[in-house]
Amino acid sequence: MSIIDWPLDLPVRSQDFGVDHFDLDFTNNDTGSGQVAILGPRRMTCAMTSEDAVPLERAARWRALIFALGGRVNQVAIWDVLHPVPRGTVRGVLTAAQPASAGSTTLYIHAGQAQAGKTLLQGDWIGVHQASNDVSRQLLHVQASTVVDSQGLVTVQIGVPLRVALPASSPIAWERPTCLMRQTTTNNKWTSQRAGQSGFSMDLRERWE
Amino acid sequence: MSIETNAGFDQAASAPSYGALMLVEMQFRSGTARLTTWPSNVAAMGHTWTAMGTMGRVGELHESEDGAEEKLDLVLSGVDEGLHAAVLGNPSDYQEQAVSVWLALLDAHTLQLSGAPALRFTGVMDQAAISADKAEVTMHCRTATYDVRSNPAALRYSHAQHQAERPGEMLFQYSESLVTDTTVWVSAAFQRARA
Repeated sequence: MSIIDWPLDLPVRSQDFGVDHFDLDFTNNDTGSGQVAILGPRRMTCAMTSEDAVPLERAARWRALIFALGGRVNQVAIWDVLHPVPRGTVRGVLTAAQPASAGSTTLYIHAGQAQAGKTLLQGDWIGVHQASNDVSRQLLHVQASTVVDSQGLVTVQIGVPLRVALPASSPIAWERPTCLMRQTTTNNKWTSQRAGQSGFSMDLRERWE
Repeated sequence: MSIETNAGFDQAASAPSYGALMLVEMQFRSGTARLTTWPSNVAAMGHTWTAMGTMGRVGELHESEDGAEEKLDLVLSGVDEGLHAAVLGNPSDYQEQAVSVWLALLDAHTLQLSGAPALRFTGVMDQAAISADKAEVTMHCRTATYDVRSNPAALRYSHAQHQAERPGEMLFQYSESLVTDTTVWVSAAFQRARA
């Protein structure tokens, strides 16, 4: 099994992001009262669709990705293609200012005093455990806008609890942060029409196993 | 069986939403496997419990009051090859070996354990069945008890019981050895010699 980065130059027409929840809902039909049992952490989902009538040399990149994935054998690292870097202004080297245990929904990040006053805005993506061979990687959604203080520290509320603990000083990615996904379908196909190819698509779901 | 819970467990159980996972300990002769139905590894009770993945599951737990054994199926798939090898290997490695199942509840917001896991099943592994079309291995487990009403051997009157009621009366002195001890007949030659 290997991890394949989503190619930067792939002709993508649309990306459908989503979240799968694995909950059981017990509801009393007479009273409406209910209780929810969670059987697993949420997983990101994504469907990637190619542009239409892609010229052959660019369609070849789609085919190369399809064959590299080998069906559901390998994982592909997915980021938000419309939102590859934060809308906020923070950049540079970000590290965990404190260790964060699994289950944390708050991260304390050291951005450096030079970045005081810079921002992370609601909806920005950051990533943890992003090393090339790390299957623990997680794509985190910034829940509320926040500002780097005069000490170079910023407190970030994240939308999904940390799945794996984060040691202090761990790098935090802001440029194309990714999560790992595998295909959910067992086939890939495409259409050759006139001088181009169309219909490349992939249905993916986050898989850390 | 009665289930002993604790404050953290009860707190999660009474919340509008909670997480739930099972912890399974299988004590093979060659080593102990600790698995969880949660899709990532879990640290609990001093051990790391390996995620079985989405394809492993714990079957329905049955309970009855008639003293009959309780059965439980553990479906293993998508687990590591070492466990597959253990299940598919020599039956003496798992038959009659202990298996325990705990239910653990989690805080819905952090997805971390809330309180200690509650022991839900203890028994032994019995048989492994392989389903090739589903790529599944099912380990049939059962409780180590048995139904005394269908096993009258357990109800036999013993010498000790008789002594308690009738001290000195030796009628049942050899009843246990008659059932349990192997009796060796003397040879025909020995009998002729004694005659």
